Amino acid sequence: MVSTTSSGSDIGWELRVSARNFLSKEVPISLVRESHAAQGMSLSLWKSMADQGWFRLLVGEPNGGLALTLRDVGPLFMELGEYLPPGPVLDHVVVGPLLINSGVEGPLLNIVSGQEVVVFADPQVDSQGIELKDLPRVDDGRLQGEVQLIRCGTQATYLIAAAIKSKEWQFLQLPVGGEGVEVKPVESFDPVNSYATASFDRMLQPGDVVLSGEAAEEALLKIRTASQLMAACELSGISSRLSKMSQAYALARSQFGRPIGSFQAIKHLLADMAVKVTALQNLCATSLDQADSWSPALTRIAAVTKAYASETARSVAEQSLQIHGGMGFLEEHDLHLFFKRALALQGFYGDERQLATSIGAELLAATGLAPIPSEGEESAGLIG
Amino acid sequence: MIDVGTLRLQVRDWLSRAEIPPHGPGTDDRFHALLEWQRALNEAGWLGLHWPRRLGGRGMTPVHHLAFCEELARSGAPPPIGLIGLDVVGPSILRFGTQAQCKHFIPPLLSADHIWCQGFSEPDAGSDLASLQTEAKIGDNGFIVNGQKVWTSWAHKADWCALLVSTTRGARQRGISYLLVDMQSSGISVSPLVQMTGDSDFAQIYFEDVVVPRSNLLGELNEGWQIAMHTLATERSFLGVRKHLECKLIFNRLLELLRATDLAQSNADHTFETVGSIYIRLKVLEAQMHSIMERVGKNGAPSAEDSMDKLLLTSVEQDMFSAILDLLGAGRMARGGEFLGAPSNQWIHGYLASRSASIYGGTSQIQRNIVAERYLGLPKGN
Repeated sequence: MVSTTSSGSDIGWELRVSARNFLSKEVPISLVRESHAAQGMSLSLWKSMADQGWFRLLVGEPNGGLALTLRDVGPLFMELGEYLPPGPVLDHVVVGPLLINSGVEGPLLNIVSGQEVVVFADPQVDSQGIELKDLPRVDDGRLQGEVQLIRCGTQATYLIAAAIKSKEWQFLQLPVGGEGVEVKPVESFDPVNSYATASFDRMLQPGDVVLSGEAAEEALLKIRTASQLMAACELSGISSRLSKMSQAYALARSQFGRPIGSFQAIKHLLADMAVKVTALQNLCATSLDQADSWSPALTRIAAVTKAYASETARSVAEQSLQIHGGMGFLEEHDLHLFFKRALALQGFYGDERQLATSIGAELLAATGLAPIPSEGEESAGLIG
Repeated sequence: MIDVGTLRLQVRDWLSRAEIPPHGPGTDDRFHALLEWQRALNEAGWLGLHWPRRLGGRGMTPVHHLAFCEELARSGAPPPIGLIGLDVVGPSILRFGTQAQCKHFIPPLLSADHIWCQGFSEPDAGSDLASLQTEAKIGDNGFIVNGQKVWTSWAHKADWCALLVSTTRGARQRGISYLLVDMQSSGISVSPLVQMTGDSDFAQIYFEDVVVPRSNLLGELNEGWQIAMHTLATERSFLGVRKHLECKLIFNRLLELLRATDLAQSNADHTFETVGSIYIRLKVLEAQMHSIMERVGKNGAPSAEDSMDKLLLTSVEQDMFSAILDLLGAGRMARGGEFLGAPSNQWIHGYLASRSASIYGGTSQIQRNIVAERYLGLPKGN
């Protein structure tokens, strides 16, 4: 019923369809609830995902991967938003492979089979901006500091942490629970990811440092850009799911002798939701079309997409709850699971206000060319 | 048929060498210049790109036409003055008219020899258009029309009017007919309306025993409602493409002005957020244009998705002007003042004008009803 543009890769479409088949069978909402209650993830589901080949999609061919692109896997993330499978899917489908493609080896290579669970610990996932002095640091071979909000930290076997050494970024691959690596769970609302805080006080061992300097900086930019874009896709899936749920409810629920969907106030809420959901889908589609290969322009595109996705999902979640009335407020109803996942992703690598502020600052600092292509610039054409 | 990309390049090339009349408020004074502009566009072959060749068009696709509209808007050039004829009434004549009607009306519509206006709304029939009261009785010479219309753009300059009349009293949609009326007919009087922006784009029209020949009935008797719906939906899809680019041009202008100012003072963060959020919305609109183009390319028929597009466009346009107005701070009521080295008036005018976006062409409330009932399939209520 909701229109999707036909742009996007064929592989992306196939991936989405096969993901939907897989998720609809393997991830009943009861599994989501169980994992959330246990603040954990299902390892057998994780193995099944690995068997689906999800963790090798973006990995380059030399490492046995399919060398697909963000454009191809975006639709997969939209599907994730409709089913909420527990576990650090982003880390294994996108971030880990990006690191593998940047030359990182060791335990990370085993994410493909699902044998190891390796997550990325970015101290700046909350883009409020931590001051330099509060970032984890490496001094004289010793890593100290803390990273919060690590996805599935206590289920991971390894984490790859970003730290500062002599004013440059350095990535360290560390065993969870290893010497000087203390990972403590933090109670999470998010039904998909549990969270953890890692505290470091470790004399670095050979093999710990996996990426440094420019290579680390470049990888970090790509990881953050990709994470924003995929989170936007997931938020699009969540929004879509919630709006379909709300439409169905409005038809099924009767009061005053007729379906509540026949009342104008409800119709208007649903119409507004449909407009936003469709607009977000269109935005994700055009953004993914530009994500077939890395380019500096992609950072802005990802930020814009994430901003609108954050805002849309939050608003759709609130309106969905409004339409469901009291029923939707109950724990036993599935709505809150999608609502809470939307909240978790809203602020991930920047919410709409933070991102608008940083985009605005960039636009105003620029000189010369206007940011929107004007006459004569090739990218201005929408078709052909 | 040339491909769209080539067309764009040709249009850009032509525009770069053409003498473009200035854009902006006060269109009434520049009516003559805008008329000449449309004639020049038509002679260059840019109008009716997707219309049949035998009627003065070029036999291309609606996507070509949309691409042209985009390029025109991007260049900052004003749209042709006969826009209602080109984008609103013309398509309905092509779709529902007889061969003779098409031959008679389409070529002069393209050349601006006929300027069209739309006589739909009445003082008592706005959103509830089907309740219109302007009546056409069938006489010996044709129809005799009595009644009154309002919100008719360009009525005081128009040669022809697409008029919705009741031909079966009380039958609402099933008793409505669509007439093509010569504005020179005796019995027609026009009185302009002034808007709160200071512009005078609309008028009221009074019809007193106006004779309209039988051959000027478009489609069948009492079957004008579907034509009217077609007219209104067509209006929506082309509007989006044009407006989206106008908004971008305005935003670029705003950026230029802001960049030339030192914003290191207080409230910089707020300004950054405002600018960034407008940019994000414009990008959302741009993405929507892709899907419009695709839909138009596959099948040009108007649909409930046009209503979704209008709702999105309206919200982006209104949010943008609202945010810009807020940047003016206390200066927002000083029309003659300056903001960032440019007259405040254009921003205030822009904001006030934007408030009508959720009202014209079907209010946002009506659009939501359409989306809910025809796109989401929700049951009709009350």
